[in-house]
Amino acid sequence: MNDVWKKNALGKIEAIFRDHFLDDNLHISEATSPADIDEWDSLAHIGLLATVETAFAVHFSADDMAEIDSVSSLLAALDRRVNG
Amino acid sequence: MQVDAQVVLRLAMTAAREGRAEEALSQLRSIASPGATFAQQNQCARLARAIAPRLERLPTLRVAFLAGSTIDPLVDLLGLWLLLAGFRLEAYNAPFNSWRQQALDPESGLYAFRPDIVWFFLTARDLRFHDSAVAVVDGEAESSAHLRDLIGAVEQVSARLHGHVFVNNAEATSTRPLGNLEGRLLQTQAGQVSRYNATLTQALPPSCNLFDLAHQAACFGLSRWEDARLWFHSKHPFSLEAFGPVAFAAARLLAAGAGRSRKCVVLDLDGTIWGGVVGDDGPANLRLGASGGAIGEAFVAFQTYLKALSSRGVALAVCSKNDDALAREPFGLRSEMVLTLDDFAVFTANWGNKADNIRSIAATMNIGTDAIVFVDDNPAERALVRAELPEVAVVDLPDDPSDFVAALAAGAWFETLALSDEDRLRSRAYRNNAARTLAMGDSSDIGTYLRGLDMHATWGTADSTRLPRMSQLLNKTNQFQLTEKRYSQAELETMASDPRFWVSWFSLRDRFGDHGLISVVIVRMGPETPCIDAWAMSCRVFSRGMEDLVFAVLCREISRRGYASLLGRYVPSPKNGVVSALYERLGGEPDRASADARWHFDLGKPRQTANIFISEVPRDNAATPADTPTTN
Repeated sequence: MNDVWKKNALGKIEAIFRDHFLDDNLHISEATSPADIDEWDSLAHIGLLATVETAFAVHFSADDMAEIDSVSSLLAALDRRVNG
Repeated sequence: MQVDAQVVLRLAMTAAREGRAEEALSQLRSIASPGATFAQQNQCARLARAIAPRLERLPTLRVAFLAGSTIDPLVDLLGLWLLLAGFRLEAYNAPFNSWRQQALDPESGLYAFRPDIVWFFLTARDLRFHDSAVAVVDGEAESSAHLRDLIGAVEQVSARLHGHVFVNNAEATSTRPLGNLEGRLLQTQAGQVSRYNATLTQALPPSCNLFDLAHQAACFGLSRWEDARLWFHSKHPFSLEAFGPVAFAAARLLAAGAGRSRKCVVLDLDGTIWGGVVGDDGPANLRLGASGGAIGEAFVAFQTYLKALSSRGVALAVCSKNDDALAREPFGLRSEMVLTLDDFAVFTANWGNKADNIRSIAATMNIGTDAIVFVDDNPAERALVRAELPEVAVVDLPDDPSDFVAALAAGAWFETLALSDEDRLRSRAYRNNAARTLAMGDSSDIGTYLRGLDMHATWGTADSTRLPRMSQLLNKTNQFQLTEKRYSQAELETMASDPRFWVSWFSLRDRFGDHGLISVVIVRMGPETPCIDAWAMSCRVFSRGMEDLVFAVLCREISRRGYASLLGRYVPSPKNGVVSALYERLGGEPDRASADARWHFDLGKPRQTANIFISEVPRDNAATPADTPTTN
């Protein structure tokens, strides 16, 4: 995974999370998982994925969705879809 | 969403957290839109959750969802749209696909939750109507078995609970194995769903309500509605984006069930119901009908829609910046006009401020400004009214008159759970009411005016034909509402056949017309002192002594049953201040010992009766048409 791309992607993802939870104090890193954010439940998860899809102009497959359960797995799926 | 909306959301969130709930709510109202994306509506829902607990005196609606799919997004967004409709949502979402057990088991979470509303949120997706390996069904389809299950469950719930029950019909699918032929053959999957929906409307008990999910799916567009990936992944019944419109429509319906639908459309004239400006162009040159081109046809279509609204009880009023005589001319001179002067409860054409005029229209019709939808093609007028009267719903009219009908319809302002004859005559009733108000202006004193009204009142105890209207009155009335008890039709029916309750209705007519059923009183009797459990009266008949007549009849009837005294209670609400001192005025002794506001009436003492200008028309309560024995 290209470092520059990853840094950019993380920035976009952080903005998405901050919008979703209406909390500008949230910090998102590669290590972030639902355990770190109280309100990141299955309902929030679906909404976040949908917003990420729109922001990155990608479409996750059903398999992708099953695999994504943290920021690092999200980055991996995005890398696959965006960078091929 | 524009950047400024994101800013407003954060400001509002801060306001909510700091306890400035009303401010946050008004900011939320300014950005929430049913057409916004799911992400945006979700943000608004999060904000709504932060605001709701901090608002005082917000009525709560307890809604239980019995679903066969994952509908958490619906619950969240319904919380948003119900808050904007004036309610706090308390939700119970039954465990996944447990609706049959929940309905049948009297110890289930459903009944323990004590819901006001039970919603069987089933969809064709989770009922698997389009999930068959067989394209053409021989014999009974699975959908008939499902319908039997569903009606059974609905009947159980209706028997045990007294709130509103909602049931979805089934949406269509875009992927039909037999393609176009499924539109015609009943034995196909699509044909069976059509039959299911048709049978459902007949089989559903009259006190239960249909939620037209099929219509929501059609409006949204089936291809966008369907989300196979989301169904396989997490059993959501349709796409995330569809949850917003469904939640919006549901909130309007639930609010209507609780009495909060709008009552009147206030219309501008120039550029709103006809093309052109009558003061400049003259009536002959206004664009109306085919001679006015596409625009002319569009205005006729809009008038036709408005007339249809009026035919089902939505009042229409005019508020135009014009000379009054000129504004009226097109109604007589142009044959293409669909609306007539008779269609309007109030016709206001002057050069005054529209906000003032709207207040005056509301006062003349005796409705709140929060019952009004304002339609005006001029953005400046719309902005003025929005700023001065935030409780008025202002339609964001698009530029093209072709889209006016859609813009007005999109607000779903006039939802109702039932249609009564009273509704259909309501527009005339508002017109007559306005005439009375104006006649009052002509009388030299109130006594002359009241005597001149030539009023006659009739009353009776509850019968099956009057129950829907009685429940509607109890639920819709907010001002003359003594105890805030809102009973459903089913509950009224139970009380009416219970000898411990006196459930009565009153109707009134006068020289100008028949007001119909305008008051409901329920007295709870028993070994102790009888208590007035509920008393609501339509604001249409305020200030004419009707409440004195009702009370006199009430006292007489309770006394006839052997009781020596009576209690009246007042439960304050934001809108019922007008009756806070009613029992005092009627001669009650305040009960200082009790925590809530109560008055005691001694039925033995001769009552000082106010001057009542209403004649009571005797009615034989023992026989209703159905009871009349047929003898020779």
